Amino acid sequence: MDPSPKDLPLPLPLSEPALTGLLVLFFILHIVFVNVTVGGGLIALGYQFRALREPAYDQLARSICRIITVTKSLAVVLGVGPLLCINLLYTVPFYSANLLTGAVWILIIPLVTAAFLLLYLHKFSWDRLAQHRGLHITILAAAMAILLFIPLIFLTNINLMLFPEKWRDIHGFFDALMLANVLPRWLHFMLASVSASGLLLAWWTSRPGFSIPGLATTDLRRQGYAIALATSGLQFIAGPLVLMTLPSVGLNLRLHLALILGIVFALPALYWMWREIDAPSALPGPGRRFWWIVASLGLTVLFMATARHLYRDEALALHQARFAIARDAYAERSALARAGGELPPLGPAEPGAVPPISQASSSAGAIAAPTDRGEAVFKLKCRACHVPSKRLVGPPLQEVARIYAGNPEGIAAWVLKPGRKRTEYPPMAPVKLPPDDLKAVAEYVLRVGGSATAAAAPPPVRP
Amino acid sequence: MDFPLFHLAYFGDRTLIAVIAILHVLINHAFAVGFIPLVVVLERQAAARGDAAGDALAKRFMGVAFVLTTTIGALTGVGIWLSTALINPEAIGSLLRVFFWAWFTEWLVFISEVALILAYYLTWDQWTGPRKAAHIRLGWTLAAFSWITMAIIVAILGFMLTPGSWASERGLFSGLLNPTYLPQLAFRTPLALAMAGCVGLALSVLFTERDSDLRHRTVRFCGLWTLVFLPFAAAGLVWWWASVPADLAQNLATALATQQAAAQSYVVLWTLLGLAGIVVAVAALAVIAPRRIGLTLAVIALVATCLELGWFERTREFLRKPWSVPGYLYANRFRAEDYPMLQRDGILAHAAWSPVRQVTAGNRLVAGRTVFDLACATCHTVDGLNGMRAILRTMYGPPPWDADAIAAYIATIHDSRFYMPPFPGNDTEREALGAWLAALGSPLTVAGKAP
Ligand code: HEC
Ligand code: HEC
Repeated sequence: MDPSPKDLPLPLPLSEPALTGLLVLFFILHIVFVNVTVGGGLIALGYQFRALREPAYDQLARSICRIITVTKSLAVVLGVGPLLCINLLYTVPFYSANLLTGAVWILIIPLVTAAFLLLYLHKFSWDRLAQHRGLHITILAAAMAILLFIPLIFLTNINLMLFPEKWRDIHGFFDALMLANVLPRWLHFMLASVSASGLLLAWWTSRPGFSIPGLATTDLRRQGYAIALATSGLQFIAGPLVLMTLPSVGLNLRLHLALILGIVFALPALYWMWREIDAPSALPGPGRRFWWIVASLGLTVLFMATARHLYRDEALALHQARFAIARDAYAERSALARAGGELPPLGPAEPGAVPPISQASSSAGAIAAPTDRGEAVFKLKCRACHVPSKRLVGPPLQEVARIYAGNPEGIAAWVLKPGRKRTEYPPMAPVKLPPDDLKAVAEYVLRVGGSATAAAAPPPVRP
Repeated sequence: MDFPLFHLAYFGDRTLIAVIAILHVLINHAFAVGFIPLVVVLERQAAARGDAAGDALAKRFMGVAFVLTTTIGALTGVGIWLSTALINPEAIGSLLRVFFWAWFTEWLVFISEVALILAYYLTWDQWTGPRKAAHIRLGWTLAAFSWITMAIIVAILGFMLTPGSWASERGLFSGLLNPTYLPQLAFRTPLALAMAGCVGLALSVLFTERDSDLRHRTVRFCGLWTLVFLPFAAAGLVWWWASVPADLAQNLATALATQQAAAQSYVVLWTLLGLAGIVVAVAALAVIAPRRIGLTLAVIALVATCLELGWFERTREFLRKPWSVPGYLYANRFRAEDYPMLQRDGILAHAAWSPVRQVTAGNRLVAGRTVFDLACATCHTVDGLNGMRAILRTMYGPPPWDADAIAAYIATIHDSRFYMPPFPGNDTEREALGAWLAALGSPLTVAGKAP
């Protein structure tokens, strides 16, 4: 059987439940800003298109892009927290998924950088490109295309890490992307993003002092609610799709309970949104039901994020236990080896396993068993790079003996502080030896090198 | 051993981290840590003079910093993490466990820093008149937070070079208060400020009218700024070098250059000194004769400081070889404490993702390749950077190469090449590795290329 991957042997800095709590909390913070950035970008893009026919909407799109400038940066920094926690809690699954999709995973960095630069270009060129609307919209569309792809990379990883039993069949990102659950989750996420941004729009456009010439703010507020309601409604298709495509390993009662609670809290929000569209409150501000909607959807998000975590916990429970057992067994065996103890066999020897070949059987002028000090030192300190009649890392002893004939002190001096002579060789590193050993090894080199020359043996050639 | 293989066949694994990390450090030092104080001082001077053009210029300076730090800067910061997790998950995973609270604090500071950058730049035109003073205070707060983010991370960098008493105590603070920490901070802070002066020079030339008063004033100020901080950076560097333990310092020649050119590493040293000289000269010229500073000179000075810092990072990273976490984890991702076991059991037997468990007569080359992937591939490629074919050619001349000689060398290589960890596996594995490496020179063994 293949050995199991092992968790790291250092203790966690916080208890597991505490880390889990932080993970869910930080994740929600992060994802809200991501939602608003991605959804807001899409809505802004929509309004920019609309502005081609109804120019007043241009100002609205611009105003939304101002929000994104802030939220996109906060989304990135807030992502560090959950990343920190997931690294600790799910070291083996998370890193394994990252490595299996490595090339695309690391593309997150240049891609998000490019998307952000495009967003700035779009923002800061608004007036300059006023006569080139098509180009200006294209810049935003390019940024959004990237920002739609990035969640797919994350979701692919987060999904892949749940299923260690599938890891061996995954060869790169696209294999992992094709696992059943990824695309439905992406859809679910996108709808949530637009829906959150619709609510934000309703609030943003009904702040005191907000006005755009040619647009009625009550109408904008209504549009915001309409967007939120439509996308939230679609979640009743996307949500079950996610659930149906989830492998059953992680499903359990607690998870279903969390999901049901999430749905229950979403229902009143939908009703209130519909009321706000149908009968907008006459008061200034986002409508008297706004904060109720936010609160109930907030609870929905909390329960959904919890359900997401419960699934992960269940799907990985046995694997995590296996990684911990493997870690402990490995540490125990390692300690035994350090103490010099007898190690029990790891498994049956495979047919044809080769025993280690001893170093003495090497070719190129084998040297007989050490009889004197010089030879012993040579074998230990020089033999890896020098042999009598052949180039290894260093020149053959023959050549050395010719250069230093009758001059063992020269060799000793070289060994302590080698110069740089042969550019086709790497440099020799100094070897620290006591004077006696130096003298002995130098004499040995001269002796062996000299006799090899005398024998004038042709250098042995290996097949 | 516990993770699937991720390997960049041409650029090499270390290059990925190096590119991302150096980009991050350059932006962080030159456009945030050092630059924000400079912008705030410019803003304050302009406010004191009631100089609208000066204020607008300071804002444009900040605009550049804003765009760069919130895009490339922020994302390469995350990128260092993602890339190290790909290349050496054991190292980053261990560091995260040891330094969780440092990283956590770092995160909070980082959030504040980003929020402050957004606030400082985006409120520039709103907080005017009586609120200008508050805006300037906001700038100083931002400057403080950027410095703190750097100060925390440098503690971890210092730890990776010299873990101090951590090896025995394994606590957060014994790790943080490591011997090279303060010296490194004392070097980076003034260097970042000096670099920012060079950025300021280039931007002044870009953003102001030739021969205008504003240009001369700003150029002179940025030149002076650089001149003031550069000597402190030099002193910090000397202090840092003095605090690097001798056994690591012996890697210096190779760290500065490459092993093949180690004997010529003094050339690099003189080049770096020369570059510093250029920066001083340009900065002095900016003070004495600001009208003589054009974009070319400013950019030369900026590039020179970037090269200095880049080279420092490379050298610092190299000095800690063969370790990732000194005394604990080698750069080849094996823990030192497990060596006695691994050298008996072999590494293949414990490697979750290896296609083979043991070396057999039939799988020698596959086993050799796998051993290479596990034990050498974090630092070597086959044909790319630090590639084995080229290395073997330098060592042994043109093929055929002798498998036994290579295997024998691998057994002792760490004695003469201090930057390489000892071979972690057992003798059979070493011989399989030798056979595979020798096969790289043979036209008959296509297995050399695959899998
Ligand atoms: C890491 C490999 C390595 C080891 C270990 C090594 N050498 Fe060398 N040696 C070399 C290389 C490479 C050269 C060629 C250097 C050059 O010419 O620049 C060399 C050159 C020499 C020379 C020739 C100097 C000359 O003036 O031409 C002598 C003598 C020598 N080695 C002796 C020794 C002795 C004795 C030992 C053991 C104490 C030893 N070497 C260990 C690699 C090594
Ligand atoms: C910590 C990183 C690291 C690891 C791990 C590592 N090496 Fe190296 N190795 C280096 C560096 C750096 C050089 C020098 C490259 C240069 O500057 O020329 C080098 C050089 C070499 C050389 C040439 C030495 C000489 O005398 O010229 C050989 C051979 C070599 N490595 C083999 C291996 C093998 C085999 C392994 C795996 C068992 C391995 N290395 C693992 C970093 C590493």
